[in-house]
Amino acid sequence: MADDMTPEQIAELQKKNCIFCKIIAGEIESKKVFEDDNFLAILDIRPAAPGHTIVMPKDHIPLLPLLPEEKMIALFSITAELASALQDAMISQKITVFIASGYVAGQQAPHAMIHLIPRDKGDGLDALDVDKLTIAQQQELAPLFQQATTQVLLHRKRPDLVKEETMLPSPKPVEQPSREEPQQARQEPPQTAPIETPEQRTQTITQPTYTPQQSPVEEQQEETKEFEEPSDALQEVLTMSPDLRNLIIAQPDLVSEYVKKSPKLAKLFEGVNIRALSLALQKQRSEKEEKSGQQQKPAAAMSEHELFQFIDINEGLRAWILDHPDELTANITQNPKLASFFANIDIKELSKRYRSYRQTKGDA
Amino acid sequence: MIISTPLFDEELLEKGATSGHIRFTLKSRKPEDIALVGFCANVASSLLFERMQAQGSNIIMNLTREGGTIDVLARRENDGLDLLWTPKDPGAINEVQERIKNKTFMIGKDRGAQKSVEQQDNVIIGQSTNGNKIHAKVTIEKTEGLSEEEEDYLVKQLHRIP
Repeated sequence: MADDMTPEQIAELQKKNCIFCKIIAGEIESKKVFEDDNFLAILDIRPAAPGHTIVMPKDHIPLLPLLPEEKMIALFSITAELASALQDAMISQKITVFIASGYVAGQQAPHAMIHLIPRDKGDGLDALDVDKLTIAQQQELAPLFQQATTQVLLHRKRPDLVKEETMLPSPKPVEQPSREEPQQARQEPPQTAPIETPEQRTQTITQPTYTPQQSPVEEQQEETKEFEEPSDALQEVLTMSPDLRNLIIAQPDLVSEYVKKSPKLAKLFEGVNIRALSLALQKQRSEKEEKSGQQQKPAAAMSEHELFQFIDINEGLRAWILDHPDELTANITQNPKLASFFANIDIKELSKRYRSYRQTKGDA
Repeated sequence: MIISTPLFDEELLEKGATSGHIRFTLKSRKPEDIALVGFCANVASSLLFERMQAQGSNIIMNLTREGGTIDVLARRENDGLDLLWTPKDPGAINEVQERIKNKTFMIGKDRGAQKSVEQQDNVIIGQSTNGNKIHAKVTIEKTEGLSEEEEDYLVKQLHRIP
């Protein structure tokens, strides 16, 4: 019978059997220490130390990274407050907050949760101090993390925390990987700082939501070629489940992990390149949004003030307009999204006017 | 160093606990600041997962009163890292629950809010028919929170009670 179940039914079954969902529903007794509309904190009955508390979302979320952004921020905020409260209550030196995502990381239940462990000297939990540092790190990955953190801070409206030089990366064109070595291009870590392409910049303009899973352009182009239409059964499931579609778009790698682990999902996704499917679904969504007129108003339809304010808040676009108008003009011809946004706009003229506007403002 | 901000530093350590170890050093202990850095750490963990073919990830925060660190670790099978603990006897769990609940009940509410009263003389409250201004003694209620030091002092006093 389980073979005939859809992914939604499987998820529903998992939720039904989830011991933490039963605790949240009050079907199983627990030692609650904090509760609000979205989260519950209880004492761990198998504690690492007295006062060991676990805080979890009330929704059945199997992995913490799947929690929606605003809820995740709220959960971290509550965790910080709980840590202070716990430190006071248990008179401990510090609190270790432990999050495991995935079985290999020590996640033991299919419900996302955060452990808060009061710590003291000689408590035998030294491994949680993470101070045995012996493995050399791939330093060439640093620019990738820098870019991600910068984007997150800008997305969370904290440009005050980002230095100007990290906000305005040089808009050099991205080198396309050689056609003979696509696999190598995909697997090797970047040798230089990843550069935001005009296409990615347009995404920043039109889709302000930060997507950490966004792949580089060359990877996207390569993988779109591998995309094949999903089976009828999968098409049907995708049509019926917007949540699954969103999950595939946002977390293709995670979905791949699930597919590897579940024979039922493996059958459903047989022969499907999930990353390519993710990109296809993303494209489908953008087209749909475009049709329903939800996309960014074109520059020509904005008043000058409105357009300048728009440029003010889009760091990437601002860099192009102030420092590289010629390159922007060249890129517009190759990028339909940029072309549609800047239709009937003279970029050189816009750059000139925007410069003078900035000078008037006194911050050019 | 990956990035240095007024709230935190982010580093890709020269040597880490696993292959793929990012460390955030907190410069603030405010919940909203920790939440922002925690979110950045979560994005870093997704990136480690994606870029380093990790099979899982850990985020470990060690929070003291002054600040703390957040370690983000990429995890793979047999990576030699054992972070799991041996469960201990929960002991006097009801007493522990009460102690913690006494500290958590204000989470999400106006923490430590209390009113103080300030009196001000000679405040103009109106004008009489002959044009003279009417002065009066006014009581102003102010809402203030307890300072960290005051809270700590009270906590210490409470714990001294047998």
